[in-house]
Amino acid sequence: MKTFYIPTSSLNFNNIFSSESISPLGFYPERKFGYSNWVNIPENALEGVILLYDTLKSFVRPISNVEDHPMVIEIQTDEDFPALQEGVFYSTHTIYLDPWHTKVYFFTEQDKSVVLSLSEHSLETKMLRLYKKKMFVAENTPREKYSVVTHHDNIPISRAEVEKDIFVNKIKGLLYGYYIGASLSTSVDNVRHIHALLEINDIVSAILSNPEKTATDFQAENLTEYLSVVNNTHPLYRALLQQEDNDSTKVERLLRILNQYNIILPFDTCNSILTTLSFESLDNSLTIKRFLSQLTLLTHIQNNALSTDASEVVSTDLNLHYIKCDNEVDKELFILWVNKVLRTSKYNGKISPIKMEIANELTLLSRNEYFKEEWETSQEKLFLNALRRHLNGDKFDYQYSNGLLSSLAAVLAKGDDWEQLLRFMRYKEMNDYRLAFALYGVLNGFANLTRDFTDILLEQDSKYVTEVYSEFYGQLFNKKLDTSLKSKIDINIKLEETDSPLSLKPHFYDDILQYWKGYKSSKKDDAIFNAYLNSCGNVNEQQFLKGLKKEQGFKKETSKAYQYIKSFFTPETQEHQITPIQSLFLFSNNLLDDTSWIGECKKLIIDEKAKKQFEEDMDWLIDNYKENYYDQKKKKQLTGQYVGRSKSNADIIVHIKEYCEKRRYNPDKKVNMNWLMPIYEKVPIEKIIDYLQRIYANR
Amino acid sequence: MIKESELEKDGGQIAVLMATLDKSCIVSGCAGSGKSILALVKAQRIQREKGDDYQIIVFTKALCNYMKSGRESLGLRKDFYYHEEWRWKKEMKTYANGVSYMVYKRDEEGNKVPNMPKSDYIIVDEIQDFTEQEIREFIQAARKNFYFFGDTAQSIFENLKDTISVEDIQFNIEEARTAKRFDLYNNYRLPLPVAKLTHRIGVGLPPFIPSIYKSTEIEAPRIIEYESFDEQIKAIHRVIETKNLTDVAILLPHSNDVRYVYNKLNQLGGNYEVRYTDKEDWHNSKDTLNFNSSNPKIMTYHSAKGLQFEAIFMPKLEDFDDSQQKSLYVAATRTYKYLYMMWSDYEPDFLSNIPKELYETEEITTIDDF
Repeated sequence: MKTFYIPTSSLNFNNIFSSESISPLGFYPERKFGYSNWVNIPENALEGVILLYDTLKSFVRPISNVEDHPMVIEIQTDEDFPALQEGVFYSTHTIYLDPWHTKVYFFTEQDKSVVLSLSEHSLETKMLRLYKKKMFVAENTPREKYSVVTHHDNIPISRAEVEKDIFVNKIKGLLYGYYIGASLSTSVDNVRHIHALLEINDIVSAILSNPEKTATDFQAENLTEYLSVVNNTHPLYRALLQQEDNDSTKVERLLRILNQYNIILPFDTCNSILTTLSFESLDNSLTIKRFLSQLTLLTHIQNNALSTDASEVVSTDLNLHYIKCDNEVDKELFILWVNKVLRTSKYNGKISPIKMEIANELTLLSRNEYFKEEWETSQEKLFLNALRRHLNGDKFDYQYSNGLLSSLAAVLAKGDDWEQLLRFMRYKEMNDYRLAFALYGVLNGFANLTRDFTDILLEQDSKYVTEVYSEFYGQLFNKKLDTSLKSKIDINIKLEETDSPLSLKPHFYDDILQYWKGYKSSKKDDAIFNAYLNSCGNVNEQQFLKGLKKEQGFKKETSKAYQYIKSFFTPETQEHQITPIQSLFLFSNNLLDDTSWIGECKKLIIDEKAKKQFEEDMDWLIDNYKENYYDQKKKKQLTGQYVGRSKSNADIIVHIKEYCEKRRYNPDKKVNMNWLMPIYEKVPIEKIIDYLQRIYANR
Repeated sequence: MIKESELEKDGGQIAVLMATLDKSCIVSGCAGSGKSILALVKAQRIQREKGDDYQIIVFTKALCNYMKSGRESLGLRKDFYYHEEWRWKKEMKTYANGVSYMVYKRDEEGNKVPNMPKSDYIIVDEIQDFTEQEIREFIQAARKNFYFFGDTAQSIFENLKDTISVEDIQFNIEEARTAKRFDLYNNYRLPLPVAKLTHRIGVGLPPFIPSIYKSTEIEAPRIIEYESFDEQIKAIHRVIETKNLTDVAILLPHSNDVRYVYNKLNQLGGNYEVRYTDKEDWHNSKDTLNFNSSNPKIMTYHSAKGLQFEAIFMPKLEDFDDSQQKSLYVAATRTYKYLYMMWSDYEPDFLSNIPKELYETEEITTIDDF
């Protein structure tokens, strides 16, 4: 193994990590994908080649108004590069990076920090989680500068290498797309469930927007239907259905009885939702915001890991060789489309401006080179022509399936953005996304894929990521990736240091931290939880709970602390399948018995001091409804001041309101209460009362 | 977030993105130049490199909520302000029946009490909608640097308040003179075919330069005649369904039209959202739109300012009057793909003057089968 160094400007950082490669300067305007510019520096200024040096040296960039800093890429390789002069070599082809054989050097901590900060806004800058441990600050590098090479013999750009680079980008996009599509695929039941949740979100949003806050007949009918899809997956509903010989009318009746005893299915009945909505507005409704955010959580991505052993997609010599399809025709068509059309540079990036051209060319290719005389009687002729008309504004009456043609239709209709595409396929109740995202991947090419998309794959556990990465590397470059340098390079993302400049927090970090504050934890539990939360990395919900169970105090599933955190997530998280969320309404719970509302209300307060005071006061208020209680501050048993007051939730809420307002406004001008006024100024009393009334008083 | 590779040839955008944080700046850019996202990205960088002591302020509550929908993806921790909220203190009052409500706090003489919290960095979007005094207040609230983003051509409140052009900020306000000035000339939102048409609608626009339109979308805008206003509404419903559109705005000049169209569309079935106020309220005090749903949104031209949608429907153009021309232009340029302009009975002059080759006149383009 030899080591080479490529000096460049940090302005190229996002470019390099969009394609995971460095090309000769002249390739960028020619290659027609990703960035078309490369910031040239005197130390690496030749048009047709990349200069590689045998030593790491420092260099400087001129002072400017932009964040232009020196950066060096180190690669380790078995390849012999021709020498240009003593210690300087050159490459006429693109150098493909991998996390096992690459390091990135900056010369100050500040430079590194700024570059990583600037990478955040760039959607195409990806794979950084794999390279994060390969970013170094070489502060002690000798101040010896790179000599500037000015080679007068023109080394021309290799057209064959540009072409190869295009194929690598396309096939790499296809491989990532296929595996990510597999990750996103789900069961028929789950996709029906997700579809129902998406529809409920739309219907609820529409009703909320209605000035009268009422549902149209169409909305009420659909809401009932979609709620029943959601409710029908509830274990209680299913058990009752089984018990009652699949008679749903009987089950509905039983549920209504159970409802009277406060056993409520996740989304309650349609009427009760409509009643709640009638007095809500998006502006001030905590209940609805919670409802909508829980819907979002339920439709969150579920990761399935497709094993590389299955060999469902195989490319050799940058041609697609095999792809798993339900039938031979789909498979052969797909391979033909990719190798003849889609892997070339003709169609790149955003799909909607080129959708008609793609549809026309694939239709003609299918007719002329695959079906030939059988075209006239083929289903494909009908479908592809209907699709072409649809893309010109006509109706499209075909039912969407998981097959190649439906996948193409979905990609051409909504393939500009992967999330839109996924959402569209879910609306159409497609549940297998492998072919669709393989098409999306090859049309975009790897460089255009966005970080949020590739992270779906890279967020899986490190062993799997290594396995998939090596598989792709082998298929693309026809050689085995040496991942044995583990002592030096560890891509285990879970073990990254917590002061990392990159965000390695779970996406629910802030929410769960806030939620945890509502739990009366021991100091020990608190310390363990916080340490775990800050070190767990960007894990998903399942991984988070799994890891938490290994921590002291959280090991037993039945431990209060573990149960508390578990309830933050929906059952989907724990069971690897989507099940309904808990009821949002807690009318049956008395505020004096179930004090979890204090934690919930605390979340509405931003100021830490106000939060603490509110919690302390509410604990005190509740204690004083009891005959006797132990006062923590005075360290003695005291008689409750509010014994005999009404204990109905409605009356307690009125009491809480009066109590808080007295502290905010001090109407009796009590001098000893003055200190509380600025604190309660920061307690959003109206929001708290609104929340309590909605959730606990059915108002 | 940004697809940087699509911007890299734009020196202005890249300069704003890559600029160092140690100087205040004023960014002037045309509609669709990506000013709002640049403002958010600037906040993202400040948060990451300098901490949480920053504020993002926009003029209307509607734009504030729209921008908030992009907050999560950028990981921004701070709440955004709309100007009224930032400018004035509020307090809670209680009616005799115990119901609470929020009002502006007033001093003994009945004047509103200023709020204007300070922070190290102040970021303001749509700066062209503010008065000179208001801009001075932003500058005073910034302990370190301010970043203003705006476009004079898009000031549609200029008859309603005494706004100042972006160009004049540095002339009139001494504290702004040292700020670095960036000008963005390229439009990344508006497809060129739509731009060619809308440019003929705008008032006082600079000469048309096709090369500034960087969107690769090629869809021709459509100006379609229907038998009646109700037929226009039916067509909107039909096109949304046929094309599976999920990011749609239906824009009208007045609130009473908004309500009428909303009711008609509701009768046709489907889920629609409406922003409706009883009078022309340019503060958009009601927030009734959920930008996380796929429901088409119905609102006035004014309400759509600063927003963008895949498809814009503009019905009832037969009732167009010249006083609406500037807001009609702003509304028509909200699209990043499809524009449908609809009329019945009488084709307004501004439409009939547009060359026919710039638009389609049918919902469906007919093609031959292979």
